[in-house]
Formats: sequence, C-alpha cells, structure tokens
Amino acid sequence: MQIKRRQLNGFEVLDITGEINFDTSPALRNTFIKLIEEKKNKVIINFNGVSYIDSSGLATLVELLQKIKSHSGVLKLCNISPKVKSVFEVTKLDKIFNILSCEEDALK
Amino acid sequence: MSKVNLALESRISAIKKAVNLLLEGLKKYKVSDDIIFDIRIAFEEALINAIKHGNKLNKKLKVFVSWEISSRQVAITVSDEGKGFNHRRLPDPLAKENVGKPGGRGVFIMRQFMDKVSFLDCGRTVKMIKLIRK
Repeated sequence: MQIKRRQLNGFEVLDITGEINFDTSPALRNTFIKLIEEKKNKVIINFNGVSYIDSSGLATLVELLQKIKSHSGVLKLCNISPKVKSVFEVTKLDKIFNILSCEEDALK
Repeated sequence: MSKVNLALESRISAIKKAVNLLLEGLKKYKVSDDIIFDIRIAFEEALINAIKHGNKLNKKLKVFVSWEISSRQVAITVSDEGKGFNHRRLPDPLAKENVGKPGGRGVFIMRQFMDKVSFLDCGRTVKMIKLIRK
C-alpha cells in the first residue's frame, strides 16, 4: 500500500493505492496519527487506488474516525469502488462514515 | 476439481502465501473478480481468526486449511488448535452499540460474503462454501 499526502482547500488528502488490510493498516494508522499530531484535523481519504479492504482495515478506519472526532475534526472518504464499498455497506459502516462519490464533493 | 491441504504456522505472515495459492487456483477456473473478492475476504477473515483468536499466535499450534475448487463451487475449511468459541454468542456488529466499534466484524463478514458458513468442533473449524457458477 502507498500513501501520498497533499493539501487542497484546507484539507489534508491521503491518496491511497493498494490494499488496506491486516498487513498494511498499521501504516495508514501511523500516517493518520502524524496528521493529528500536526494538528491537521480536516482529512479526506481518497480511495481511488484502493482495490481491497478487510475487517482490520475497517477497524483502523473506525479508530481513526474516533480519533479525529475527539480532536473536533472531520474525516471524509471518497472515490470508493463498488466492491470495496460493499464491505462498508454490509457492515453498515457506510452510515458511520461520511462517504462521497468524488473528491470535489468531499472538498465542499 | 482441485484439492489442496495446508498446515500453517500461527503467524500473521503465513496468511499471504495461503491466500495467494487459493487465488491462483481460482484464476485457473476463470472465477470472476467479484467472486474472487468475496472468497478472499472471507478466507482471510477465517485465517486471521484462527491464528489470532483461535491459536493466540502460539507458534506451537497450527492452522489447518483445505479447499476444493470445482467448476461449480469452492469449499474451504479452516481449523485451529485453540480452545474453541461459541459462534452463536458473538456480539452483533450491526447493533447500535457495536457499529461504531473498531473490531468484531470478522465472522459477520465471512457470513455475508460466502453462501454457506458453518462452525464445527466447538468453533475450532469453519467450513465455507461459495458458488462460483449458478
């Protein structure tokens, strides 16, 4: 998994490529913790390059959502492929996360 | 039909090799990407559960994996050597008080993405079936 950071309209955007799973989710967690330490509390995770997520990946995202909320921050997810989104939907996490279809909508 | 039997060490790094072997087998049967995704996520959840929760990452204990792939279905069995658990007593991850919690979705995901999931031997063994052609 690769994570690239960029800034846009006051948001930190994390462009993720690859899989968010038991093996790679610690790296996502570490990147996110750094953002919080840098007091960046408006974050968009761009799932455009994400091909797979498992329950470990979901657990990490939930943890990160809780962390950013505890810092009065905002986390949005965008560009999730139908199959990856199905994992959010069956677990009802699509109701917990703010999921937008594209980055433009996430930046609003 | 192709049949495989494996004995894995109880370490997380053993998962990737087993998953890749299964995926290679599925590709030979020209299984669709969507169905491969479903099988993979359920299989990985079963392995993580067996290694982490069943065998508690104890390297002295093994996880036994087998699968049969036919033109019609994939049947996967994962067994650990742990103390077992009551699969009927798992918290409901969709319950209001649980949906915002980080963990507790592995078995639920297995049930959602496979066509049949059954637990045997006090929860030490899980058998899963996915139809690959209707």
